Amino acid sequence: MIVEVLASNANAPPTRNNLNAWISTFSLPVTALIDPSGVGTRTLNTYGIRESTFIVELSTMRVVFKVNGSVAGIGPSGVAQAIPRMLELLGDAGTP
Amino acid sequence: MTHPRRWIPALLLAAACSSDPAAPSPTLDAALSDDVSSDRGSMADLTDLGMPADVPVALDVPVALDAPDAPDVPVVLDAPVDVAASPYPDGPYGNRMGSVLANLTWEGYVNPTGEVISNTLPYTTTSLQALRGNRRGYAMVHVSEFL
Repeated sequence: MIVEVLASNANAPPTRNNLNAWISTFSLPVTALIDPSGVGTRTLNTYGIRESTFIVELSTMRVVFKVNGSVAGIGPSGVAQAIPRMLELLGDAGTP
Repeated sequence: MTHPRRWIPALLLAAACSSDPAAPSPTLDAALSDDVSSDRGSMADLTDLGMPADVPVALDVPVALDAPDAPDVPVVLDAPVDVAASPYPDGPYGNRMGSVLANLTWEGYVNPTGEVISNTLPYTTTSLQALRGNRRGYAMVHVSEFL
């Protein structure tokens, strides 16, 4: 299960149009979400700075791996850094 | 359930999301290219295997691999999730290793199969609990920012 949360638009709450542009730019085939209107940047405030990548164990929802990519957008993203661990875990647990 | 191999291009796509949106990475391009060729097959693939190109090959015929006596039951790859299967774990919640990630609500596009571009799907509301349902294994949650 992959959840992509567009948590802010230059520190402001992103809009549906922002989300559509985000998806279209990368042709994203994964669940892609934003905070509901009226709650500000709740995900950013709760989960942490962008870009944060969490791997959670679904039965407990505990964070078993976390990595932050570069705020400057330099170097490998958090997701790229998390992929090896995710594949390792999936190999242990079977299909997601 | 989704086969892990199907995740790889999706993960690589998501991996591009922290970079400049106008410049997807070469790694992404390579992964997409590899995925297309491996999924669809090609005449080059057949000739590489030593097969003559003019022999008809049934690429999409379903094959029963190892259960000749089993009833013909369709396989459901992405079964509906029972969202009431288990309550969301109690807190305290946090965003560090070992913490329980808080259950948030969102709106957007839920795409559990990864078979289409997400904004071709209905716009809806959901939550981490609804997405979790009774699934097993692990989830990747990626927090990104539009710049």
